[in-house]
Amino acid sequence: MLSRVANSIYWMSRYVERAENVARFIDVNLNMSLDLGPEMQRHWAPLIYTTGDQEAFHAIHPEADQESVIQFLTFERQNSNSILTSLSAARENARTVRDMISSPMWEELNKFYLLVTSATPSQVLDSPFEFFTQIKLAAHTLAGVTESSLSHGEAWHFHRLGQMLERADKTSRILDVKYYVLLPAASDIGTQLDTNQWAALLKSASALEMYRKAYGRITPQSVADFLILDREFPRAIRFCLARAEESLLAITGGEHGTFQNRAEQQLGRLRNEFDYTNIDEILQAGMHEFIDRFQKSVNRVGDAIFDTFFALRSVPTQSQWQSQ
Amino acid sequence: MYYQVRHTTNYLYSDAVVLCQNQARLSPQTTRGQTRHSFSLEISPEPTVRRRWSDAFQNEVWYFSIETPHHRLQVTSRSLVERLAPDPIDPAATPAWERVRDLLARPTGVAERLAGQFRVESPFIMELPEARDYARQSFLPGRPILESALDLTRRIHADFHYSPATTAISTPTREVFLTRRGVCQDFAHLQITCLRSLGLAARYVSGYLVTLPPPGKPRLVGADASHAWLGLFVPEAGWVDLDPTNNLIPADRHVTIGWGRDYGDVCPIKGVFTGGGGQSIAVAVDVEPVDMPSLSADLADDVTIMPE
Amino acid sequence: MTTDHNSVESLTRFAEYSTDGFYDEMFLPDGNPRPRSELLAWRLKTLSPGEMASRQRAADQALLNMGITFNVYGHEQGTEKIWPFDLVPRILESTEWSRIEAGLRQRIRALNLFIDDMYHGQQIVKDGVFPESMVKSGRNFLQQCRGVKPPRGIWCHITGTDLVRDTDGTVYVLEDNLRCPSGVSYVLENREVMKRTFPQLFEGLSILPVENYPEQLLRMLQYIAPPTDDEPTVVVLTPGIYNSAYFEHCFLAQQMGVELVQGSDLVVSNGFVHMRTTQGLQRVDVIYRRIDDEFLDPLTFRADSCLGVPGLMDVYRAGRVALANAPGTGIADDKAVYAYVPQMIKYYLGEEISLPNVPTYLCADEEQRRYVLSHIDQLVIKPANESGGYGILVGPRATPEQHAKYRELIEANPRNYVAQPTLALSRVPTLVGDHLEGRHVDLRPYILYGEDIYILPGGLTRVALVKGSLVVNSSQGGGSKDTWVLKDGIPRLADFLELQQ
Repeated sequence: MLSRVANSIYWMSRYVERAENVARFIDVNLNMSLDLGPEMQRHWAPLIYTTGDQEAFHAIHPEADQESVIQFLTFERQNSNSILTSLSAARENARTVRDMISSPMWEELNKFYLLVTSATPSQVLDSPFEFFTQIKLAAHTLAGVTESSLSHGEAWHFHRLGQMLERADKTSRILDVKYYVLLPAASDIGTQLDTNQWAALLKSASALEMYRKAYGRITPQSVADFLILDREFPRAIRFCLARAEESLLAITGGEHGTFQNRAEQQLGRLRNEFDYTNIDEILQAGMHEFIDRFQKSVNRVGDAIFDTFFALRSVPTQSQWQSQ
Repeated sequence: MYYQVRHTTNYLYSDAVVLCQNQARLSPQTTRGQTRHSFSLEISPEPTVRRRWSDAFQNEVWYFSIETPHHRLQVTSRSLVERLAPDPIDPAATPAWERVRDLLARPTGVAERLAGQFRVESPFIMELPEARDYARQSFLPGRPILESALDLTRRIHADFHYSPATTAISTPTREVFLTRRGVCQDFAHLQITCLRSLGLAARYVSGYLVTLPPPGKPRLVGADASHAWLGLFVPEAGWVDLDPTNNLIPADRHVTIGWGRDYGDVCPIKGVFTGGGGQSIAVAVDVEPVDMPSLSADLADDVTIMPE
Repeated sequence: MTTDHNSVESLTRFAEYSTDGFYDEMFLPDGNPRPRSELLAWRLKTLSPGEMASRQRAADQALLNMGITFNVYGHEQGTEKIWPFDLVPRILESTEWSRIEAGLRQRIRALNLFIDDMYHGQQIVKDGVFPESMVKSGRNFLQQCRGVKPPRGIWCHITGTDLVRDTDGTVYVLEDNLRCPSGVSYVLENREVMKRTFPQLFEGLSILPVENYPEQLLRMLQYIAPPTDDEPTVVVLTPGIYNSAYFEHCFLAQQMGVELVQGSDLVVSNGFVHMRTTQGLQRVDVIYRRIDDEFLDPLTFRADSCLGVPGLMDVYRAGRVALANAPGTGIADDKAVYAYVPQMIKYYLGEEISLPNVPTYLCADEEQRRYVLSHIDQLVIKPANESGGYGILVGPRATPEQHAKYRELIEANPRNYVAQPTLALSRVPTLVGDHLEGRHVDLRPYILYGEDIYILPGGLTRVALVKGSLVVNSSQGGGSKDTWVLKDGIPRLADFLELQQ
């Protein structure tokens, strides 16, 4: 497969996943705001910090409140991670590989994009739950169509590789922001309010029911355990890493436990780390520190994938003339 | 006269270049009044692919690619050339320019036919009404072609200011006309534009000019530069060179590399590279007059061909 | 065999349809169908009211679903439109088609020899058959290609030659497209849509298939490949998604089962062309390029091209990659050169031209120019080397101001213009609302020159959908039709009806 094509498919899927997850971030906060009331206003700012876009945000908005944050994360073209920007990028990538993906995929992605472009900020602020639910639904539809209409060959594996890495990264961010919001108030631990908030968090990851089946009662530690280390839940980081590695090895023909290139090495190492840790160890070392380290590792995996498959030896970053 | 020419081009890049492809036209043609006795081309780093061929104008082209990361590219050509001054022509004895124009429009002989490609527009030579008007002042009805052309050369030399800093490689002739400034390449393009606008055949010549030191001073090594002028097609006589930058007919102090329709056809080195970031270029040319070298007859055309 | 000829006639006569004095591809001037169209006319006649229109809607929907779109220049970037398709096919008899085929073969062979000659000895110029001035002033003559020997000596691998039929039924060659002729994907898709939405029309007819074009194309491309140990690797090179024919590039690559690449996917390394794949560099042997010569290689042609591949021409010159069409072929894609095709055929092949040219006036010639300038209101003026129908002036339909403007343009640059008499292009019934009206058409057969010369049966029938319009280009409000070449004899309605009974 052409490197450019693989690259486009990989990024198409990452951007779609990104858009979906930003919707989930907002959804978590919206859920919590119902319980926290006016106090909630100060919990919108952390959302911007977790996506790392505070500078771009403050260039546009003086203050972080529900309205400005939703606007910025959903529609802002200046924000390279907004839902709209991500979907535009996903669609542009898909356009260049229309001959490689299935037409139902293209159609669903197009609909997804139109869903966001046709919405206005005031509509969204009016009935935010409905809008973000639609977004999650559109993402699920696209995922389903992809699963059932794209041959599970190299293109599909690049698609899944991108999707799983992006999802692992974003699940860690959802956790991170909630730890920031939820843990400082030590007095709240174990109270009814606390439990509700963790439930809201799980719901946003569409994980509440599956969590209940696995653990029953809600404790912060179990929630973290579930979202980070569960082997079977599709948004758990460990699950994502395992699937990503499967796809990577399917592409290279490599074997689990060995590596022939940097992508395999980085991803294998990261996955291994998750296989040999437990939640106590993570909490002891500090959740935020753990997530921070994890996100850096994911970036390294991304770079390694770029170097291994897309860049090769000589991508023309620029062509210039030399003339006397 | 014998000349030893050394032409070194150095490219420096801020980041590594991972791949570059180049064409070099640095090897002097053997032509009337000029014999190339030897030529060598040194390239560092060692090229991955190196190939030689002749282009449509019989210029020798060296293609080379370098496929290992490098921060610096150095190309050095060395030639030994023997140059004779052409036989003098009496400008007044050349045919009227209109006759040449008509002959070129309906060519009968091979020479005029071949000259035809130098009569029409080419990438750097576009039709320009003001050039035709400017040329008309020298090309008066019935006037001998070479006399007219020399008058035009003289006027360009007088009306235009030599100013190295003013032009980039691709300064359009229209702009040169407006600012009345330029370098040798611009003046060559300008005069070619004028001549072609009248239906005459003119070609661009790339080469070197030997600079002589002031009396009593030593010759400065590396102070020379590549130079450009033009050739005009004159029936019977063939191609007559004209140098508007210096207002003269090139004689034994001009060394010809090759020719084409314009600069684009005979650019000394052109290339495309990948990576590299910022780039800088340094060129040093040295044209050294040498005595009849210890050159034996069997060394007639000793071209050093590097292994491919 | 007994048939009631009169009853057949009454079955197929379209009383309300008028040929308006033009040559109609389906009907005779008296309103009766031409023998080759009898069966079709009968089918159309027996349709229930409104069925035609509903089939047309179904066809439009099918095209939309298949994503058969083209991009329009000058509109918002990436605007995609469906190219209008009309259900009523155009039919050609096998005997006439054989004549056309033979004429095209002759023409392509001569053009190929001409191009080769131009880049080598220019014997035709030396012999005074083709004027010197024409060679040197043609913008498409590439000095970089002089002396180059393309694989197997073939330059014009893929040609789309436009044909038109005048009032008296004569078929003329209008122009040759030898650079990157497009539209062949529509021929294949049109047939597909016809079969899906109107299978009944095919009944009783034996029509030459068009479906094996991609196979023929691939065969030709593999034939010109440089020697390799394995099966040669072929790619289609596209300028990218904003090109008006991007859909076709995708389509042809998909149909041939080869990669669709952009310039940035290719890299010259170690003296060969490679494509960058996820498994490393893979050597490419043949490039079916759909980008223009001047963008192919920034090292050899336009330095500012970001579509091309640096160093490509050096590999090509060394015979290590094949390009289709060969760079430089555009020299013959010039309406002034076109005018000399009859002389070329005589010169190279010693034959008389069998498919005539439209009489053409060259504005470069003083005498002819004078004629053109004084008859501008009767002629069609065409730029010598534009394609896509841009810059054409239809004299009889233009205003005096437009005439004046073109006079000026011609005087300023005579070499760039040619003129031809305004032909009364033939018409084909076309669905307008709920009834049929005649619309002007042309025909573009596609010719592949490889081991032998293959001509796609029929080709693309383009139709000017605007009433009275003569401009059929996709960019100028044209549409297309399916083109049927009957396999052998003409099946008569009477025989068909008898057989049915």
